[in-house]
Parts: sequence; C-alpha cells; structure tokens
Amino acid sequence: MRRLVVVLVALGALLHAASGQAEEPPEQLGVFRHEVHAKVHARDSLECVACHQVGGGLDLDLPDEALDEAFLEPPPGACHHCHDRDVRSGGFAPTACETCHTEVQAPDTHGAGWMPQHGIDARYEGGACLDCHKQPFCVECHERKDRVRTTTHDPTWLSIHGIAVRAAPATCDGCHLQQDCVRCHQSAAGRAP
Amino acid sequence: MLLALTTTLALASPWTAESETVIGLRGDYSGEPMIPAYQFVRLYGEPGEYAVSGYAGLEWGAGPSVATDPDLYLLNVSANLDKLQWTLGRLQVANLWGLSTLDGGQLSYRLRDDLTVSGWAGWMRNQDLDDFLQGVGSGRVQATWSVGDLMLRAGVQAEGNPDTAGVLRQDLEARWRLADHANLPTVRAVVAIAEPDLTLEQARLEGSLHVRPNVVIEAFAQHRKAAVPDALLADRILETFAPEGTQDLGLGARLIGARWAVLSGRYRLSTFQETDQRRWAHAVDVEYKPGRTSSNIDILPLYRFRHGPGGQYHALLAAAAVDLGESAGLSLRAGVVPYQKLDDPWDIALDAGATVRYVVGSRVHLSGAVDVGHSALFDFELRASAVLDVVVP
Repeated sequence: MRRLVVVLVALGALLHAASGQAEEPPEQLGVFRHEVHAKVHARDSLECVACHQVGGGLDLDLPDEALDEAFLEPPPGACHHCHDRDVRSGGFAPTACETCHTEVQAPDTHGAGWMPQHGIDARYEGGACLDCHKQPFCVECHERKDRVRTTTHDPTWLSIHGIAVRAAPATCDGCHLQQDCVRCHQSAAGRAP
Repeated sequence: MLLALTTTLALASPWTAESETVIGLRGDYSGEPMIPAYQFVRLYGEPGEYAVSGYAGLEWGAGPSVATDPDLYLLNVSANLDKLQWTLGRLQVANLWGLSTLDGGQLSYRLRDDLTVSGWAGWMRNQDLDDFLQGVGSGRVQATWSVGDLMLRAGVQAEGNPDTAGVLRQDLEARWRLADHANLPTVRAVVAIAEPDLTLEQARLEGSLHVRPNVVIEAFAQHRKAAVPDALLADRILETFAPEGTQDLGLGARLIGARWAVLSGRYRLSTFQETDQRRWAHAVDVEYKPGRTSSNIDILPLYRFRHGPGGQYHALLAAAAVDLGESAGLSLRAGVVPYQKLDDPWDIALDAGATVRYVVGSRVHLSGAVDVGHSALFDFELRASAVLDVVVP
C-alpha cells in the first residue's frame, strides 16, 4: 500500500510539472471565429469575460505573463456551455463534435467513475450519446455474446464482484438486472455459491 | 465464408460493412476447456436522408456451454428530417428504468423550438447474459419541454402481454443546469419519479468547478430507489440489495496536464438499508490517462478500493500501450487485487495479459491475446483469443 501511495504521489508530481510546460493551443481554438458568434453572443448578452476568464476567479498570485495568457485563452470546456446537447443549447448551437474538433476528446462527463454512471446518464441524455456513438457501440457490450474478451470488467472482477455490489448496489444497477445474478448463483449447475 | 459475408454486404458507397471473427480458448466455470468462436457483421449505410444500421452475430464452438446460436442484434432504418426523426426495425430504447431492445418503431417530432413529442411502440425485451428474456408489448409517449436552464419531461408507458395483466407507468423528470459563465460552477440537478406500477425515485445533484484552468473539482449527491412489484421484464439489482434505496455522496478532482493527460480521483460514500441494518460503504477510484504523447509507451495505472458489508478489496491495475510502428501495436495489462470477503481471510486475484495487433492492410486487422490469472474459482486460468477484423469498402 505504501508503495502505491508513493507511485501515485510521484505521478501527481510529474503531471503537475508537465502541466506547467508550454502547451500548444487546442486545435479547436483555431476554428473559432468571433464574427460568426457575435450575433448570438449579443442576443444572449454574453460579455467578453464570459469566456476570457482566469479559471476559478482572478488569481492575483499569478505572474503577469501567466495572467495575460490565462485571460486571453478561455478555460477548458468554455465552448461547451453553449455547444452542448444539454438544456442550455436551446437547439441553436451546433452540437456535433466535428463542428470544432478535428480530434475528438472524451467530454467532461466521461471523467472519474464514468463507467458505472454511463447507463444512468444514457437514459437521461440518450440523444447526446448519439452525437458520437452509433447504436452498435452499445450492442458491443450490452448484447453481444462474446465470452472471450472482457470489455468492461477486467479478469480479476469475478473474484470481487460480490464485494463491489454490496458496496454500491446503485452502481451495478446501472447496467445489470437481477437475472444476471440468478443465472450463476441459482443455476442448476450450481456454478457459484 | 468471411469474404462471402463481407463482399455481399459491400453494396455500394456510402455503405460500409465490418466483419469480426473471434476464436477463443478458455475454461468453463467447471474447469473444462472450451473453444468458442463468433462471427459478427456490422453494416452501416446512409443513402440520402436515411440511415441503415445493422449488427448480427453467430456463435458456435467446441466444449461445454457453447451453443450454435445466431442472433440479429440490431437492424433498422432511420431518417433524420427537418422536424421529424424516425427509426423502424430492431433498435435500442432507453428510459428511466432501463435499456431495452425494441422490435418496432420510434418517432420524435419537434412541435416548437422548446417542445418535442416522442414515443415508441413494439415488442420490448431485455438482454440476459446469454439470450433475450421473454419480452412484452410496449408503447410510450413523452413530451419534452426545454427552455433556458430547465428541462421537463413527462411520459406514459404501457406494457403487457397475452399472459399477464398490463401495467401503466407514468413518469416525470426534471433537469436543471446552472452555468452562466465559463468559470462558474456547473450544477446539474435531475429528479425523476415513476409510478404507480413501478416505484422509481431518482434524484441527483452534481456540480463541477474549474478552480484553476487545469484543475476541476466535482461533487455529487444521489438518491436512487427502484422497486418493480409486478415486473414483466426483469427485477432490478437495486431492489435485491437495497430495497429501500441508496443514498450516495461523491467528491472528486481532475488534474489536467499537457496534451490532455488527466489524473483523476474520486471518493464515494454510499449508505442503504439492508434487511434490518443500515449499511455504509466506501469507494475510492484513482486513475491516470497519459493523453496524447509522443512516447512509444503509454502507461495507464488505476487503483480501486471498495469497503462495504460484503468485504473489501484493493485493485491495482495497469495497462500499457506500446507502439511498434505503423502496422503493429502491443498492449500489456496486469492486475493485483487483494480482497477479503466478509470475515474470511484475505485472498488475492491476479491477472497478466498481452495483446498484439497487426495491421495487414488498411482494411484488415489481426490481433491475438493471452491472459493468465489466479482467481476465486481457478488456481490457474489461461485465456487466449484471436480476432480478424475486415472492413469493406
């Protein structure tokens, strides 16, 4: 356990150091045109500082150069406040990823703990999923019978799934039905206790 | 056979067909060796304003518990018109209580910019691990009103089959989001209630905040309860383990580095009533993704901890992607998982594996994988597989 902590701390330190390096601006910033957005921004009374802000507030401890840079470059995700299938887009802002992205990254929602949560979100925002995924993408995990390769749970999962379900039953409920338990635990073959 | 399948599906542009052939070797739960094999075919086409999406699979093999069993998972035609979207065939529908396969049709019509009416009708089934469960006839109509930061959705769903009495479910869902400016916290609230034949309560409040341009903190609170006293399709897992529902609190952070590298961590506290006792459980997830790097080797470590009434475990997992040039790649993975079930002594699950991928041409990919492990069922387990992917055209 101590070794794990050391590894994670080292990783964090490395990442923090890396984050201080000069980064290339995201490719989608090159796509943005103020003249194209001027009309809709005026309609929604969006001022310059709606996008051009220092993330989390004005950090006066930043050196001037960093402050200028942070001010000029909108924080990550700024565009998605309008270009989002969520309620704010109102159907006006295009939501297809390729509108801006030449290389699509996973959205903010696909962060830590996303996998057990995705089934619940898909029920609320199934349309948003279809922006990037076609229906066969769901089938790949949910319906195909391939018992050769594991896509969601790694091979060690079989040993610990009973602990996991009793630690967070709502998580398993996102994808599985009671039938999935019964199949092994009460089958005639008696495969599992 | 593979060529025949893919060639016949290569109708004409803009059609695309994909074939995937999988052959495996592994032990059944009883320890007997089995050699399952699968053939999957996917078809996509967008002739004009219509889109066709198909997905079929065939399974056969040697050894116990492997049956020859073809399946049509998905085959539908859809159209995305100005205000109207429709899909006909076998499709997947999602609603508040699950994801199901529907043989029928789905329709969505935008009455106004802020009001959409949609629904489906057909034969709905859920997927068991190995086969479709017996289904029910199902129809649903819902209206979605979306204005500003608020979305309201109300729906009515009917289910029934010739052998059982029908059920009628009404549900109401509300979502709200606050995020006026880019660096204000994003707060989303979701409330969903369904009655009377199914008791479903879902409330979720979540928020995220860029405390610095590269640091995001996240938090959520959630209540979920699901009980289906007269389930026509299948019972819920939540109903078994937490019949009174669960309450969860979560706190997480993401540190975004150069070129989309992300270090993320999350803690989750869950509490629920289990028989006559209130239970508390803890979960920790820490994950690192290297993002876009110029390195030939990317390493993705992952740590999971769970502690609840069923026991506890620490899962230390790692995957590495090794770039072997333009036409080859190697993936390595390893897992060390000490675990303790209830009051049993600690045990350990182990896994180590490798996958080699080779690009034969722009449309033909080959891969082979081997995993060895130790688990609660097997002192030593070997799994191997080979996959051939072909894309036409």
